[in-house]
Amino acid sequence: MKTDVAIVGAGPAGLSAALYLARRGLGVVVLDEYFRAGGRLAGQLYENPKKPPGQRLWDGKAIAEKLSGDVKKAGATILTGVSVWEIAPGSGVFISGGPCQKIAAKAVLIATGAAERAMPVEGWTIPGVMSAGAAQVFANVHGVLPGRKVVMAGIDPLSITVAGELKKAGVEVVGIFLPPPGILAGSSGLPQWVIGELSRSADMAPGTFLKMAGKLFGGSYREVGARLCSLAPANIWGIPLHLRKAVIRVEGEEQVDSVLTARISHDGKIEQEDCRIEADAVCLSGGLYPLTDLIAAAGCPLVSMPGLGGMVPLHGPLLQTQSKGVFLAGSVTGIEGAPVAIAQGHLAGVSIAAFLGRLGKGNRHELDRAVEMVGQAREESPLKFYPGADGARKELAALWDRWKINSAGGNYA
Amino acid sequence: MPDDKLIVCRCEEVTLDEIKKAVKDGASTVSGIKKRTRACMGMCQGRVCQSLVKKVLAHESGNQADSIETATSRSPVRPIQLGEII
Ligand SMILES: Cc1cc2nc3c(=O)[nH]c(=O)nc-3n(C[C@H](O)[C@H](O)[C@H](O)COP(=O)(O)OP(=O)(O)OC[C@H]3O[C@@H](n4cnc5c(N)ncnc54)[C@H](O)[C@@H]3O)c2cc1C
Repeated sequence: MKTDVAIVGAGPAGLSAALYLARRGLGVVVLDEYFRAGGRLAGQLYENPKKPPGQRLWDGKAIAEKLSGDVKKAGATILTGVSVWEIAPGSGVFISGGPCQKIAAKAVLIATGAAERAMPVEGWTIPGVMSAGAAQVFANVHGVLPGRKVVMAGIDPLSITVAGELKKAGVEVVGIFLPPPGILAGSSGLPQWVIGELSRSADMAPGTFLKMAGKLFGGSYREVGARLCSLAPANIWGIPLHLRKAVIRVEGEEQVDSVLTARISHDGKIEQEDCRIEADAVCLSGGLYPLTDLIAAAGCPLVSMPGLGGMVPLHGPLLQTQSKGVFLAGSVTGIEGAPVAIAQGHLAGVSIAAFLGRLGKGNRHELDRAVEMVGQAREESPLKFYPGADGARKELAALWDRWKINSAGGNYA
Repeated sequence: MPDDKLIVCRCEEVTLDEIKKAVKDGASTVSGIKKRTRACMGMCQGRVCQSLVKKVLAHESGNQADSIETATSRSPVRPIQLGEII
C-alpha cells in the first residue's frame, strides 16, 4: 500500500492531523491497534470550568466519533486492529494484522499516545484489580461497571478524574488512597509530596485545587485545606480522599473481596494497620508516561523530562524529529490533556504539509497560527498531568536548538 | 510487605526479591536485570514493569531513577508472527 502520509495512532492527535492533511488533498492512512478509532479520548467525560458556560462539557466519546467520521469524509483511510511494529527506514511503516505488510509513505506521524505506569500492591494479580485507565475504558467506552464497590490506590490527577467518572457512572467509590509505601511507590507514597504535586498540577494551593476539582464535577466542596495533613479524609466529589492512609494489600481467592489499609506517617512510613475494606474491584494508578517504543526503535534520542511524564523523544517546535519526514504529536511528546493533543495534531498536519511542499506559498501563516493554538489549548487545560510541563517544554526546545546548531542537516519544514 | 511474594513483572512472573537479588549479583542496568531474571522480556516488553525495574535499580544503587537508562527499544515493538516478516 502507498500513500502520502502514514499516521500511527487514531487518538485525538493522529485524527486531527489526518483531518487537516486529507482536507489539503493528501493521501492519508491512519493505523491503530485498538478495534476502534478515538484513542484515550473515547474514555473522557468531564466539565472544564475554564471554559465559558455552555461549552464546558467534554464528551470525549462524541468528540472522537465526530472526528473520525470527519476524517473518513475528508477521504482518509482509517485501519483499526492493525499494529505498527517498525518505522521503515526509507519511509513508511511495517504493520501486522492489516491488508498488507508495509505502508510506504512520504512522511510518517507518530501519535502513539501514553501508557500507564504500574503501581504494584501485594495481591495485584488477583482478578478484579486493574489500572485506573482500564476502569475508565470499562465505564466510559464499553458502558460496563468495573465493580460495584471500588477502591482506588494512587493519588494523582488521573486517579482522581477516574474516581469521579466512576462515581458518575453509578459505582460506589469507597475511597482514594495512597499506594503502599516502599521502593516501588517512591515519592508517590509520601503524603507531603502528593499534596505538593496535586496543587502544583493545578497551579494553585492545595485548598484551591480541591475547590476547583469540586467545581469540575459540580460536587459539594467543604473547607478541606486545613485537614489535608490530618488523618481525616478530604472530600472530593463526595469521595473520601485519604492522604494519610495507604492500601497495603489486596485480598481474595478467585477475585478481589477486600483490601487492607494502613495509616501512614508524614514521612511515608506505615504507622499501623487500619482496617479491612470490602470491595469487588481495585484500581491502581501510577501516572502516565509517553509511549515511545516505536519512535525510539527508529533511533530517535529520548531525553528525561519528569515534567512531561518521563522519557520523551527529542523534537522541534514544528513537531519534527531528527529523522527526516518523521513527525510527532500528542502524548508521545509529553503527557498533556486531549485538547492539547488535538491542537498538536493540527500543528503536525500543517508541518507535514509544509515538509511535503503542499502548504502553498501564501499559507505560511497557518504554521504560526497552529503553534499559537497549541499554546492556547495548554492555557485552557483544566488540569496538568505533571507540574513543570511548561518548563520542560522550554528545556526541550533549547535541546533541539543545540542539536540543530551542532548538526549539518537541521534543515526542516 | 514480603518482597519474595510481590510480583513486579507480570508477564514473566518475576518478584521484587528476584530483582533485588539480581542487583546484588551485579546487575546495574535494565539489560542486566533482563538477562538475569527475564523481567521486561515477556509479551509487553517492559511496557508495564520497566519503570519499576528502574526504580529498584536506582534504589539499590543509591541513584535517581531517571539516571538509569531506558533499555534500547528494538523492532518489532509488538508481538508478530514469523510469517509476517519473512
Ligand atoms: C489511561 C489513560 C487515561 C487518560 N485519561 C485522560 C483524561 O481523563 N483526560 C485527559 O485530558 N487526558 C487523559 N489521558 C491523556 C491522553 O493521553 C490524552 O488525553 C490524549 O488522549 C492523547 O491523545 P493522543 O492522540 O496523543 O494519544 P491516544 O489517545 O493515547 O491515542 C494513541 C493511539 O495510538 C495507538 N497505538 C499506540 N501504539 C501503536 C502501534 N505501535 N501501532 C498501532 N497503534 C498504536 C493506540 O492504540 C491509541 O489508540 C489519558 C491517558 C491514558 C493513557
